[in-house]
Amino acid sequence: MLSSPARRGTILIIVAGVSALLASLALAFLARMRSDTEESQHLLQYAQAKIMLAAACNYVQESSRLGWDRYPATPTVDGLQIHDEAYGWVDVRDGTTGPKGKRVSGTPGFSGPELADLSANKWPSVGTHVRCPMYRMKRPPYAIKLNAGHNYMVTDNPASPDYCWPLLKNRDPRPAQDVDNYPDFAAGDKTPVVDTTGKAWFRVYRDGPGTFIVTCGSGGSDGFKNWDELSATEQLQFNSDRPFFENLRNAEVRLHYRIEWSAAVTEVTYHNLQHEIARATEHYETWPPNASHTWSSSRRTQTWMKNPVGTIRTIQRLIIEPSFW
Amino acid sequence: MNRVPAAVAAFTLIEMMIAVALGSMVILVAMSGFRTASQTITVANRLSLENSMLRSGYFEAQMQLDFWTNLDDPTRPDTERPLKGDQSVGGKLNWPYQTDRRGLPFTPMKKLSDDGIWAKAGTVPRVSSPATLPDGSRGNWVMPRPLSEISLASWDLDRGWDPTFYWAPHDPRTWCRANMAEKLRDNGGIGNDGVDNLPKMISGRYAIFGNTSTTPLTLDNYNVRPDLNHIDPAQRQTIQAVSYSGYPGANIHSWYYNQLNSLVRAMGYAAFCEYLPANSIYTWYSNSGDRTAGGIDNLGIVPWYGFTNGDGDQRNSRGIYRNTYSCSYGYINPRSWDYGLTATPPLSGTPLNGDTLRQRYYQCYESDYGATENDGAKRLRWLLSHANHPEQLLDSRPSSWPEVQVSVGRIIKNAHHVAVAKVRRFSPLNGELIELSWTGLGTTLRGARQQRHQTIGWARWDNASGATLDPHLDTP
Repeated sequence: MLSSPARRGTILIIVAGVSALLASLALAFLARMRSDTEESQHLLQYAQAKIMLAAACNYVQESSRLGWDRYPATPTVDGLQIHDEAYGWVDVRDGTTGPKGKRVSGTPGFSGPELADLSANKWPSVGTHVRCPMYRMKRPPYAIKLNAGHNYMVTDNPASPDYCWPLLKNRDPRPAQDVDNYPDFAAGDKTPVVDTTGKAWFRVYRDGPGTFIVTCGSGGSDGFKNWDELSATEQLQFNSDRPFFENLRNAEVRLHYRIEWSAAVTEVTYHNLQHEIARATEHYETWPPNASHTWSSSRRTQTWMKNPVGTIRTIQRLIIEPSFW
Repeated sequence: MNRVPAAVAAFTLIEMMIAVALGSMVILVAMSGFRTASQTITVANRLSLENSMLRSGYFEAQMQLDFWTNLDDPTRPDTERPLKGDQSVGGKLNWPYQTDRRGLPFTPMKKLSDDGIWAKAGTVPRVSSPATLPDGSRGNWVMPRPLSEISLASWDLDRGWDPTFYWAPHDPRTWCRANMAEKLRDNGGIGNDGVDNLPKMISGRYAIFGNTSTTPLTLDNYNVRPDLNHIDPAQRQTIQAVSYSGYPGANIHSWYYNQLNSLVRAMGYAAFCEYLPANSIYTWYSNSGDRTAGGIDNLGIVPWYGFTNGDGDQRNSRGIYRNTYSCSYGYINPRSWDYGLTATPPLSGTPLNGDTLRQRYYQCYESDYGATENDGAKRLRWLLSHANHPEQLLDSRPSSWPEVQVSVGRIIKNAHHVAVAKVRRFSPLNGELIELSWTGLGTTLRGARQQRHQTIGWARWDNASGATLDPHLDTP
C-alpha cells in the first residue's frame, strides 16, 4: 500500500517541527552553558589576578632584603656569584633609597654601597618597573627536596651499628634533583612547565623609595602594558602579531594597586610569646632575667616572630588605570 | 450492487490501529523528549541562575574587599554615612575617657584636626608636591626625610597627621622610649609588689625621657623599699618616696607619644592598629588623663581598659601581638543589628547607631580561650556577627530566585589583619544552603580612605604630571 503525499508531508512536518524544537532547546542549552563558562572563566581570571596581588606583595617584601645581581657584573668568589644582603627599600640605617649593602668601614654615612645602579633607568631604580610573568619552572634555583627526614634514626635493626644513634650522615636539606655541581643546583632549570605559561603575571612600578604601583594580571600578555612597549625580540613572543597581542590584552583581567613597604616588623615584647614557657628551651632567651613575670624555669623565645623582610603598610586599589605602571 | 474499488478504500481497521499505535508512540516519544528537554533546560536555567548569583556574590565580595563599600558608600550623603562623623561617646558608664570626642574609620583627617581630636600643630611643612620621575610620571608623596631634616628640633614637635610622612624605623622620633618591664601593680603603692618581687619601675622613670608633654612637670611620688636585703629587718620595711620635678626637660621626645595619644581616639581601635607600623609599642607616657604611677596612659597598659585586654592579667607594655592575642579589634558593619550579649543572635533588628555604634569601635573582643564559653563566647559571637554582617545581594527578587548574602568582615587577631569574605546562597526551592568563605587580600583602611573624596564620591588619582588629584579623607 502506498501512503498519500499528503500523509508523508504531515509526518515530515511533525518530525521536522519536533526536531527543530529539540534543536532550539539544545542550542539554548549550549548557549547558556557557554555563557556560564565564560562568566566562570572571568571569575577564575579575577581570582588569579588577586592571587597575583599576594605574589607581588611577597616579591616586594622579599626583594627588600635579598641580594641583587649587580651592574655591570655580579662579583664572584670561587666561581660563585655573591649576592650581598640588602637593608631594605628604604635603608633602615639612614632612610636613604635602597637596596644597599653592608657599610664599608672608613666610608662616610651610615649605609653601604648601592647593590644596584640606582641612577640608571633600570629596575630597581625609582621610576622603573619589573615585569614578572608567573609560570612554574621545571626546577627553581636552589630547589631542595621536601622530605623532612634525611637522617632518620635506625630503630628496626638492632644489629646495625647505627641502631638508635641520632647520626647526621646525610646532607640535610638535599637538592630537589641530583645535580653534578653546586652551580647547577644554584641555577636550577627555569624552563617553563607546559600549560603554566600565559596564565597570570604581576608588574611592580617603583614610584618612590618605599612605595610601588602593583598591577596584577590574569591572561596572556605576560605583563606588557601595550604593543609599543615591546622590543622587536619581545614581539616574537607574540608572533610579531599586534592584533593577536591586543586580543590577549583585551581578554585579560588587570587590577591596579598602590602599596607601601615598611621595614617595620612585628615587635617582640616580653609577653608576646608567653606560651613558650618551658616548652621551647632550645631557643635563645629573650627574656631578661630580672624582668617581671619571670621565674627560674622560664624561657621565652622569638622563634615565631621572625620576619626579616618588612611589612606592607597599606594597599589601595586604584579605580582607574594609572598613566604610569 | 456496486463494489467500492480496493484502490480507493480507506484504512482497514488493523491499519488504523497500527497507525494510531505507531503515531501514539511517535507522539509519546516526541513529548517525552520535549518534556525531558524542557526539564533539562529548566534545571540548567536554574543551575545557571544559582551559579550566576553565586558569581555575582563573589564579585560583590571582591569589590567590598577592595573598596570597603559595605562599611562606607562614598556616593551617599554624609547623613547616610554613619562611620564618617565624630562626637563624644556620650558619657557611657565604665568607659575610659567617656567625654572625649572620637572619630570613626571614615572621619576625614581634616575634621579630626578641626575638632581637636588630632589637631595639626608645628612648623614642619607637608610635602607640597611629589618629585617628577625621570619617565615623566608624578612620584609618590610618601617620602623618607633626609637625616638633616629629621634632626631638626621642630621635627619632634610636629603634630597631627602628615600623609606624606614615611614612618621609617631609622627616624628617632618614631622610637618608643618606654620601660618595657614597667608594670601596673598597685600592691599598696609599694614598689616591690611581692608577687614577682620586682618594682614596677625597675628601670627608672621613663616619663622623663619621652612624654606627651614638653614642659616640666612634677611627677607623682613613687614609693619604694630600697633595700629588701638589709641586715636589719626593720630597715627592709622603710618606705622611701621618690619624687621627680622639673621633668621632662629639654630635648624631650614627644612626637611618638602624641601620635598615639591622638590616634587612639581618631578612628577606632582597629584603625589605631592599622595606621601604626607593625613594630609599634602601644604605650605612651602622658601628662594628663588616667595614668600609672610611672605616667603611662591607662589605655596602653591597664588590663581591660578599653584598648587593652586582660589576658594573663598582663600589666606592662604591649605590642600588636599581645594586644590581639586573646582579643580582637574589628570593623563593625553600621547596618548590623543592635543587641547585647546573647547566645542566639536575632535574625533581624534595628541597626546600630550613635553612641552605641561608636562605642563598639572602641573596645576589644575576646577571641581566644576566653571566648570558649559564657560571656566570652557571646562577645566573640557578637563581634563576628557584626563584622561579617550578611547582607542581601539583591534588594528585591522573585520569590523563587535563590537568596544570596554577602559579607566581608575585618578583624585583627594575633597581629594579623584579616579580611574574611563570605558568600551564602540559599535556595527557596529545596532549602539548600551553600557558603563560600575565604580570607582575601585587598585594600587596607588607609587605602580605602584615600579612595574617597573628602566630601562625597570617589577621589580622582593618577600619576601623570598635571593630573587632577582630589582631596581625600586622609588629606589634612
